[in-house]
Formats: sequence, C-alpha cells, structure tokens
Amino acid sequence: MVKQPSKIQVEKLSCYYNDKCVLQTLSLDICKNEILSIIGPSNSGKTTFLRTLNRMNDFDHNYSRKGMVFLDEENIFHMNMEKLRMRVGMLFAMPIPLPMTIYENIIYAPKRLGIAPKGKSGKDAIVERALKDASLWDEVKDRLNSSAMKMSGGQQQRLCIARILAVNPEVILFDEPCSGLDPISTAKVEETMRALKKKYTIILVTNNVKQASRVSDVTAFFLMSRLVEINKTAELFVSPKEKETEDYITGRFG
Amino acid sequence: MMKLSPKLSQKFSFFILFCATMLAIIPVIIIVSIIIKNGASAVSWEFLSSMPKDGMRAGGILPAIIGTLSIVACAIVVTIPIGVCAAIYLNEYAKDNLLTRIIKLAIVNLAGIPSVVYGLFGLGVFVMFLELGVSIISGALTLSIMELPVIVTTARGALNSVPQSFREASLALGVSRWQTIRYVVLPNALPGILTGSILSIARISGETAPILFTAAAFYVPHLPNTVFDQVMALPYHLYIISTQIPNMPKNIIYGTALVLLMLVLSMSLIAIIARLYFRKKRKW
Repeated sequence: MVKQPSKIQVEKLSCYYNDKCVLQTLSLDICKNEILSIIGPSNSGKTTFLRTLNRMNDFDHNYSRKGMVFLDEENIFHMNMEKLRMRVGMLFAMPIPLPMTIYENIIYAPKRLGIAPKGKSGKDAIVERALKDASLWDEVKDRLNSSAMKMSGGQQQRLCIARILAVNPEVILFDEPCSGLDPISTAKVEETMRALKKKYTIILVTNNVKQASRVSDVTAFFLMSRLVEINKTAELFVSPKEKETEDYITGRFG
Repeated sequence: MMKLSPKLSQKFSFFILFCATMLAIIPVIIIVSIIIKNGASAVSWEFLSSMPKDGMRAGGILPAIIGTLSIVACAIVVTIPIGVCAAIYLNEYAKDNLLTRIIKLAIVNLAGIPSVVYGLFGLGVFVMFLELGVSIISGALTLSIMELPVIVTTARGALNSVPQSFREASLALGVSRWQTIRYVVLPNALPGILTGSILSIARISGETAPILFTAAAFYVPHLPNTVFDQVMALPYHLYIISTQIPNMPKNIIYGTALVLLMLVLSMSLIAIIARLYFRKKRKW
C-alpha cells in the first residue's frame, strides 16, 4: 500500500495533571484522510490526548505537557490557539448546541472568525453546505430558524458536526460522539463520519470497540496512560499483537 | 423522655417548621398594613408632586422623591458597568492565584461592612478630599462603593450559571475567548445580571446611612439643578419628620414611609417580572 503523507505527527508526548502522568511518551503518526480510532478503558488518557491536539486543555492550570505535536510539519504548541482550533475542530461527547437557532449555530463561528461572506446568499450557502455534509439538511431545511435546543439528541450531534464543518477544518476530533445516542442516531453519525473521511482527517475516541472496528482505518489501543498497540483496524481486530489488546477487544478485561 | 410515634413526630416537626415560616412573614404583613392604614390618606397626586410647606408639616415630598431618584440613578450609571466588568474579569479571565483569591474574599467581606462606615468613608473621600461637597454625586459614589460588591457577586453568579460546555463549544471552533464571552456567555447571563442589578437598586434606594453625610439635606427649598447640588432624600426625610419636627401630622410620616416602601417594592416587582419573562424565553 502506498504510504499516505502524515497529517499529524506526535513525538514523545507526555501529559500531566497535577504532576500525575496521564499520558506517557506517546509517539504516533496520523495520515491524511484517514479515520484513526482510539479505544481503551476510562482513564487511559484517550480524551486527554484528543484535547491536547486542539489545545482545549490549555485553559486548565493543573495540566502540563512535554513533547511535540506537528500538524503539517508545524508544531501546534507554537501556533496561535484560535488558528489551530479552526484547523482542528472538536466534537464533544454530549451534543452542545448553542442556545440559538439552527441557522445561527452554523453561521456563528464563520461570522466571529471573519470568514463568512457579507451577503445573505453567501451565508445561506455555507449553512446549506455544512448541513448537507453532516447529512442533516433534509431533516431541518424547513426549520432553520427554529431553536437548535428543540432537536433530538442525534440531530443535535450532527448539527455540532455541521457547525465544525462550516469553519472548514482539516482535522476533526470526535470525543465519544455517540455515547449519549441511540443505535439509529449512532448509525447516522457513523455514516456521516465515513462520508467526511474524503475531505478530512478524523480522530475518534470511543468506548465502543465495535464502533472502532466499523468506521476506522487505523485503531490505537490505550491502556493506563500508554499506547499499547496501533495497527490497521482490520489487522488489529483479527490478530492483535499484544495480549492486553486481545483481552480488551474480546471483552475479557477486568 | 417521651417517645413520639413516627406519625406524631412528623406532624410535630411540620408544625414547628410552619410556625417558623409564619413568624418570618407576619412582621412584614403587620408593618405593611400599619403603614398603609395610617399613610394611605396622606398619599395623593398633590403629595407626590408638590413642595413641602409650613416647616414640612404640610404639602408634598416632591424634592425628597426627586433627590432619591437622582442619587440612585447616578449610582446605577457608575455601579453597573464597573460591577459587570469586574465580574467578567474575575469569572472568565482571572487566573486562580493568591491575588484573585484575596480579591474574591475582599468582595465577599465588603458586603458585610456596616453602611454607616461607607457613609463616613464617603464623607472623607468624596465630600472632603475630592471636594465634591455634600451633593448628589458624593452620595451616588458612596452608594456605588457600597453596592459594587453585591453587583459583582450577583453578576458572577449569573455568569457562572451559563454552562461551561457553551464556552467550550465556542472555543473549540476557534472563536476567541473575548468573542465567546461577548456573543455566548453575556447574552445568556444578561437576564440574571439584570434582575440582580434591579434588586440591588431597590436596596440602595432605601439606604439612609451612606447618604446621611454625603448627599442628604434637612430641607432644600428648590429642586436640584446639577449633580453637585445637595438634595433631600426619602429615607433621611422620613427620619427627620419622624424625630426632629414637633407636631408633625402622623399621616404625612406614614405617607412618606408608604411612598418609600412602594418605590422599593415596585423595583423588586420589576425584577421578579423580568426574571419570569426571561425564564420563559430561556432556551436551555
């Protein structure tokens, strides 16, 4: 297989909370237009890793880190935080629509970041494209001006995806995006993720091992703040190299 | 000791709790009804809109009403912007270090300082040191200093009630912290800030001690022209006519008390209505 260029390179990244190590000398490469899923039990450092990638942890004064992360060969810790977050979007575990209309939710970030076109038709186009890419357009096109808080959980989560897409990111981080959703909504979000792969690089943190095997190209297994194993999803699930990985994916853990 | 059955002990406790509630309410009801009974006959349009006559034993209380309203209005203009800005800084920006903790502690404790101390402070700083004299502006600034901690505390409460997740959602999109505060946090905290502010306005309109040395006059035969004028104020006027003037008609005293009470209550009422309105409109 032809080696895709790396989108993100992590080099000896360690993260700490109050001097307690929550992620230990992690190094991995993430390729362009690939879905990397990270599996592992709670407290294995998955979410910390994800929040480090768009520096959402930087507001936490108890948090500190060592090592480097490169996005297109540029060290993200030297980048402007806002610029980084525009390029690396993040979807949270719980859907968080802002208390505005559906339309306002989508156009909020482009407007504030100054990348929205002046006229109404240009804004409409952004909203339509974002909602279509998040496969939500058909469900909400007739009620763009109703409150986003009135949508169902699954719709809200796809609205949050659309909100990220409106900013035109390069990488999207998904932090257990389906943990509060029913199977049908989950399927829709997964379908959206697969469709998004064509344009974006995706990192998915999930507690759901099956979900990782369904949607991702590469899977990484984290345990006790370390990366245990990383491999092509097909290979990792069929023939894991490490005993711990096998125990975890077959549900024999604990 | 006698052992009560669970049912009886339950009844007994409810009774005690009910009595405590009644004890809290009854004095308020009695005060209000006495004031209304004795004062209602004095309150009329003329009472509200004319100058005092006959050594304040007759006529109206217009200058006192105008005086109180102008002191309070000036105090609002000064307090609310400063208080809200300080609250935003403390809640959204300030790092959690020793200095911030001391500031927060000071703000909580400032609210416990007796109001007469603020009055003396105002006399020293605004009236004498800054040479603003006994005037609307001195009184308003004194009230502002007194009310700032309260406004900061309520505004911080309102900012805190906006879910942290809203901030994260906005920041994760690359929106800056200030824009997040301006376009997500503030619009959602505004109802709380507004109702809190109205309530504190109600509180300062009834204050006597802080304006005693800084703004209020025994008697001024004309209405104020500028903020540097001395004025009459309702709470102080009430004190004067109740204690300093012999042969004062009782209904005028109670009438004045009633007007002051109405002024304060109506502001609280506005705050309650505003809160209900915003709660209905709130989308989360």
